[in-house]
Amino acid sequence: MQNRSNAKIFEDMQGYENVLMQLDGLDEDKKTDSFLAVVEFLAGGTI
Amino acid sequence: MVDPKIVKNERIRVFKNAARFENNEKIITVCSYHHWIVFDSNQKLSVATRDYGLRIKMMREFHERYNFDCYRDFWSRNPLRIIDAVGGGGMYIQSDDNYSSNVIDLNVMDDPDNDYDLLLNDRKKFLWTKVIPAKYPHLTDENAPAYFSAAIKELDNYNNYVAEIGKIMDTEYGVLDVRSNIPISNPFERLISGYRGIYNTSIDLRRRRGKILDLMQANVALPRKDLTVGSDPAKGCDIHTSFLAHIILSTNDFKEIYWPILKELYDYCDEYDKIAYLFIQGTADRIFDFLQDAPKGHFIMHAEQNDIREYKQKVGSVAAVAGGIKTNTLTFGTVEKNIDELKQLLDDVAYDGAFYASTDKMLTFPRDAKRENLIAVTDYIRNVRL
Repeated sequence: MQNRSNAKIFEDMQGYENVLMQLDGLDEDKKTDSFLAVVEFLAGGTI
Repeated sequence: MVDPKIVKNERIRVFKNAARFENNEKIITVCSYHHWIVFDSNQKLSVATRDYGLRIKMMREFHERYNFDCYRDFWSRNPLRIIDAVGGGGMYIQSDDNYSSNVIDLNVMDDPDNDYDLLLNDRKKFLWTKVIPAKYPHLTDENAPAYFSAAIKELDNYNNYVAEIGKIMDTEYGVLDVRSNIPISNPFERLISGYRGIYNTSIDLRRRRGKILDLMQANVALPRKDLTVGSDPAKGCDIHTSFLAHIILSTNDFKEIYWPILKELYDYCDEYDKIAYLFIQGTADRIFDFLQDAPKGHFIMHAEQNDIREYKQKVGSVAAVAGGIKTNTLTFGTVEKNIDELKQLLDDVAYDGAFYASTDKMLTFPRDAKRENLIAVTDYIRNVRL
């Protein structure tokens, strides 16, 4: 296994919700969808 | 100057004719490229991939130089600004020296038996608790909100760039692309490239085969909602999918893991009269038997490294084939040798019109083509009449 973040936010989905609440400078109506989209993107391939 | 709409409609007509095995007098050129555009434009990879204005300029110049009819992609790849915005990471390696981009063979599953179940039953939680912390180990409770906020804005910028380049290629040049209107799910590809890596997936094929099959069976490859019969008149094809990870599988593995998806795609295209572009990375030697079962007139099959003549012989009675132009000759041959090979290629595989001219591998590295040869080849094909 490679190194991984040991941040508490990644222990469960409460961490996901906490980060969502702290997102800054984004359209409130789109924030939930945008966050999921960027998580999907970052988790996927980049080549 | 010819109206781009007229040019596009003509390209669509010829493209569909080739897939349908209908009378065709022209041959569509399909550009299958990756980083070679950066080399050909004399740019630095790390700079060009991050500058959307430069990308658009390069794409325009590239197209005006070679005038391909169709692209597998309008350079939507390498969205590194989003990775940069989240502070780097992503297990991504880029080299300016050899124009390469790679990802580390990453395994994010530290508890594979349970992690397969989590991926199967709660994918969002799997991504958040397994994939993101492994790919971005620098993220902390403190910095994550700011990094994700910045990454969301960059994702918007990227989506705007993709829309803009697509619009330019469509409205200014009348060029086709093979991107899907219809999403296709193939979890095995993502398993290898994003979650488990080649090494561990290879082990799982023996030790956790049931978990992999559960994952495949839980995903319906194609949506069946709101479907219309008939191919989209505004596009050459309706579906584009790539087989990349199949190259590590035996024929028996392919039968269990990929065949259900491929069969569903066959049935879908037959039932709804769609046209699909199937890009098969590497060779298709072990899977010819499955490719031969395609319904006639619905598939374009692009096998990178197969001998195109053998490929035509194996699948040419049911599917149009794409490829055939040797990158080796594009790089090391003379213009005359390239044209001689091209004439022979067209005689051998384009006799029924069910052929798309493309390269036998993605143009990526400097030694994948020489500019003067690629210009000569694309010019020649543009003027050929069958």
